[in-house]
Amino acid sequence: MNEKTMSPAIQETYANYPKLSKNMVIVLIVLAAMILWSVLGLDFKGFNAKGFEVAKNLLKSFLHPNKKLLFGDSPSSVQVLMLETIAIAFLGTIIGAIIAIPMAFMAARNLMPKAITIFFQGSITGIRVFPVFVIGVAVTRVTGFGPFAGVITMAIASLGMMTKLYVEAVEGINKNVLDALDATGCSTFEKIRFGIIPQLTAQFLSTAIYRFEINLKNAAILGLVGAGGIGGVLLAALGTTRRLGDASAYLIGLGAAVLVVEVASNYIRGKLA
Amino acid sequence: MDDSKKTFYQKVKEAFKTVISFFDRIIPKPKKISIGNGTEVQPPRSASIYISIILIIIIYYFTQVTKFDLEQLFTKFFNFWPFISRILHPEWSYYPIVLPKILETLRMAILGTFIGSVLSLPTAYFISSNIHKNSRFGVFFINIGKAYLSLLRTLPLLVYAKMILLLFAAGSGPIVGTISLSIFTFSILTKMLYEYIETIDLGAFEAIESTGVSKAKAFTTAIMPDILSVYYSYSLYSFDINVRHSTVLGYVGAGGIGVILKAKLQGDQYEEAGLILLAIFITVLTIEVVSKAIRRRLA
Repeated sequence: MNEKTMSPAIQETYANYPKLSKNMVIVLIVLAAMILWSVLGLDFKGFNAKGFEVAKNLLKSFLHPNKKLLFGDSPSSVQVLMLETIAIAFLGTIIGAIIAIPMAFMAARNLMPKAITIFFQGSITGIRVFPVFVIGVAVTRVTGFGPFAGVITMAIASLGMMTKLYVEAVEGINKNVLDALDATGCSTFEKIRFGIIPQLTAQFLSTAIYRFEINLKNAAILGLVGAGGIGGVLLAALGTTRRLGDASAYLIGLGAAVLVVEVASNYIRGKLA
Repeated sequence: MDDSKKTFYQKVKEAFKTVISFFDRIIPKPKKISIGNGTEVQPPRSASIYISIILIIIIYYFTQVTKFDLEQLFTKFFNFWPFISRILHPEWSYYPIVLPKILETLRMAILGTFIGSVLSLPTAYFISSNIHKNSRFGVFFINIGKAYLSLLRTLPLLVYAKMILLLFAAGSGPIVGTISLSIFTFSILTKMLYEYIETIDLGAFEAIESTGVSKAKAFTTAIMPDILSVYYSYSLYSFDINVRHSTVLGYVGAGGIGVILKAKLQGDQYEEAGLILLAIFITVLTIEVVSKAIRRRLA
């Protein structure tokens, strides 16, 4: 636009409009410094001598997965291991979801005195910060290796996030409904049954379904510590032995299951909301 | 009708009816409600009964698959205690080794988040369906891009790390970690961004586009100011997640604090592991608090 045709008022406002605020400059400098610091910290040791070939084989192996594993029903086939993985994620989610309900009520700031909520909020944060595989190591020390350890690990690991989201749901309860039920002369049980539960079910369910999705993806981590599921064989196949055909069969199985669960979970949660 | 002539769909329907009638016999129906004029109404049974029966069957079957054993859990539950009590007594003198590894983890997370988020904004622009809705050619590529993104998201971070690890020479763990975190960040951030862009009002965008400028220019002037604060807060959020996730990367040899944590946990040196966990705890918590504070100011 030609500057001469602009009215002086607009020109003045435009000239005074901050191009780069002081805060922005500070943020940019801090960000640049952080990135520089991280780049300088990386030391590049070069590619694997056969890196290119490995990459080519990896991509090729996705087109030629080990069909015996993918469609067969031997103990180490995709079918059997995915069933185990799904079972671990499902049971872990359900156990976590059930334990999370009383925890959430205890940690809700609108229901409980401050001392109790601080304790429970603190323990939720504590659980959430522990990485899944640390919980897995602790559990396998107690129950031994196998899918059972996976279930317990998943239950404990789900507890943190689920309780946190449940607490948000409980704290968002509309208390007017309870007052209305009070006015009609409902007992405490009826108030819980018709006033509280209907308000929470949808959110609780959608949290649980969402967590199931995450737990299924986390199944690969469980394999690291020997807690069952498809993760162990998958990582072993990608590891030193480099059975890429097997690995791609497992990856296709896991990817397909995660995709199906994700689509289903999005659909159900859309309906619940 | 002859049994062989029935379609598969009809067979399924009949089987379903049999199951329902079986349920009808064993589960009492809800009480009939009589309306004033004498007609009685049979209210339908709530679906939650069927759902809970199916759930119970599934849970029972899954407990068999996973060899679930409550007795073992209760009898051995207190075996947790020595593990936890050793972790709660951290070996403080171990900190000179922990500190640089924590910094390495942070470096990986910062760089991974940065690369992933820088790549995600242009990609989100290219695959937002509301911006390119008028070009049929574009819609085709958008759908391919979205399908590719959801494929990227199905694989866990750990698997990326393990695959990328194959490509690099030994000892380049942090680089592998950074790359896998970039892919991970890119895949989730792009999805969050394009879903946000698809919900915003395009009035200003269309107005600017109608003056004759290109789509990209209209995007940067009309939509960028709208999405920028959301973009920053999503990036911070994924940084938050990345720090948390990068602890596991070391477990497969992709750098960071996980490398020594694995060694200590496998070597039964739980006191040192306790200090590592404490360091992770403090780092993750600090970053969560800071990121939450910044995101609150951005909103």
